[in-house]
Amino acid sequence: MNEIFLGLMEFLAWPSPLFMFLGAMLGLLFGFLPGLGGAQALALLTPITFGMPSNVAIAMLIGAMGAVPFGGSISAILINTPGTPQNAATTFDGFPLTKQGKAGYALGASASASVLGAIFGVLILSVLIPLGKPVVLAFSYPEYFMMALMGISVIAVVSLGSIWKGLAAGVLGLLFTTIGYDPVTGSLRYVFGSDYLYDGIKIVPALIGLFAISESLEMMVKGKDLTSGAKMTANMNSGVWEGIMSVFKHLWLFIRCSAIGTIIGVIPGVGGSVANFLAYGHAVSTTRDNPHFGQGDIRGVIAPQSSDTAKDGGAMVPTILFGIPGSVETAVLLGALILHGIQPGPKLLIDNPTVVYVIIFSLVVSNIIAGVFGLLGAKYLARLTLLPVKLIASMIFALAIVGAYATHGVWEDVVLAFVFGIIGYFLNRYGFTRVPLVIALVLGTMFQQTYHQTMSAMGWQGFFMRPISLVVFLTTVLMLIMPFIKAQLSKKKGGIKY
Amino acid sequence: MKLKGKGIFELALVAFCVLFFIISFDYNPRARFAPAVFSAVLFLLASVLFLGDNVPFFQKRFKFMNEKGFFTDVQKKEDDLSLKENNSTVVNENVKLIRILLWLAGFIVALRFITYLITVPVWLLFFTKIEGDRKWRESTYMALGMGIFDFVLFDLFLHVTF
Repeated sequence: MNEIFLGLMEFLAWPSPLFMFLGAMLGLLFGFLPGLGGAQALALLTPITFGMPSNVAIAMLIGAMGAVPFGGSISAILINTPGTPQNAATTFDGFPLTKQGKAGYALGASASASVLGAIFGVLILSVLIPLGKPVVLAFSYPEYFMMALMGISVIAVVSLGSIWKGLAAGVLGLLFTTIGYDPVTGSLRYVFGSDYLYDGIKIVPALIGLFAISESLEMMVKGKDLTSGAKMTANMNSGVWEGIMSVFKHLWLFIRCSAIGTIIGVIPGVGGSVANFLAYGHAVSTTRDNPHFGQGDIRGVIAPQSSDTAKDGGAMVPTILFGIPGSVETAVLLGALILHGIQPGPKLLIDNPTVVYVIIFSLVVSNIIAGVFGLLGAKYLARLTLLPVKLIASMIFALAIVGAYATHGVWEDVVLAFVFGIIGYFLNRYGFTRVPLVIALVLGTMFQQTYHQTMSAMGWQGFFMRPISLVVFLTTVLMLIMPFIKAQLSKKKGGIKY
Repeated sequence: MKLKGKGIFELALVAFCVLFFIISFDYNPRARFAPAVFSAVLFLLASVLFLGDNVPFFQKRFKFMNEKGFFTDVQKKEDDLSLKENNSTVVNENVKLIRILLWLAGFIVALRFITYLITVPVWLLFFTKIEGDRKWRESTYMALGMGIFDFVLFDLFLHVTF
């Protein structure tokens, strides 16, 4: 209880609320603009928060992260273009409602579902954190090694796209973490005469490159309009209150979809786009009177939006308990927290538990801010999509590059960000998901350290003789071979293959 | 066998891990262990990808590498769209990519020698005018706006020394 109170005090300490508000505004904007999203907003904000006290920085970063899902739903509802992939299912019923002149109704429902979904996810997080504490304390080197192994490999299996490419991206990330001082022997590896590489690949410029620069590069090369010619046909002045109350009218649906979002969030690396579609599919399949789905049914807005924001609370569970990111946004957040000297995982729960509550409060309040200001400013935000994409992309690029330099005032950071921007662009272009690479970059050092520590202290038996370690290992193996077994089985049954 | 962009990228990955694997033997056995293992695993993964995507003999045998993640079918496969593009689109995209990369590299080089307060607005002015095909007035407003924003954020607020 004392920790909750201290967390609340830290969260309210000036200027945290101000920066959380600014973060939420940026998150709203990045969520709203198609092509951008939470990872890009966090990557750009990280260098800006570098000089701030950790509680202020966390409030700002979480503020941005929490506001993205509702921002994305505004463009999904008003212009039929999801702001982020996480809002794709919101277009199915959101835009038909706009065409019927019920944009206010849809936006109200989206805002209400987003805020309440975030609260649901955060409540689950608050329950799981104290329960998870004894589990985490039972962990030693082998368990951490196995958790990191599971984090990297399972993400490739559960994330979107080719598993093989996902695994390759993950191992590439691990290989990058071998650059610089070996965490065990202190030997220098792959520095090629550069002093800059002594400390390895710096996570912040790498993240700026992988998300902000590669994304802006792609926008510049593709050069398409943000809205693909969609027209805004919104009447935003009426029905907002009815929309807000509609969530209470469909409370049971809201609870089920929030639970789906939270569970999806807990699975490392899966993310909101999956939660969004699963919740929508669940709403359609479990509703008896469903002929209006796809033509402007408010339940088609409530379901995806509630799961979308609830997943943020869920994604925080593995991030905080084990230091293993639950989503791409939390992977970037993890990098930012490390920059501020905060190492998520069991040490955080013991040494600095108030940080967890700062995260929880920030997540809830940022959603409320996004809901209120998103509703007020939706009409004006919609006009931003008329801006040419190259204009937005060039501004993001300039800001990202200057931001990369601002982190440590080192010129090589800019070069590193640029190089990772190009790597990210090509990975994306050729169908490699960037998520395993980012997570491997974050977990790589721990992976190597815990391997050597286990081998020194317990020998190879340490990995397989301890129950938790063995269970995690077997789960990893099972998860890795499952899709291939499934494919073989469906082949035998004459199912569709490749 | 004619290599396309994806094949070249996969081949570059193979070459990258071979290089890392060979260099790893310069280090003592403990320091070498992680990079040697990672580069060997990546070599295996990237080689299968390269062969499976580019050599017809292996395309039939390496179908397992096309296995999708659990949730891929849940949403539209945007990645696949790029694969359906025809050759002329790819060539145009590559030409555009090289041009854009030159612009970006120019920005970084200029930033190295000139203060960001000049580099950011000047680069934005010319980039949006020439690449974005905007009117001079629009480009100027945007360049000045961004320059002022950067000044307020990085100089006045964050006190970053460039």
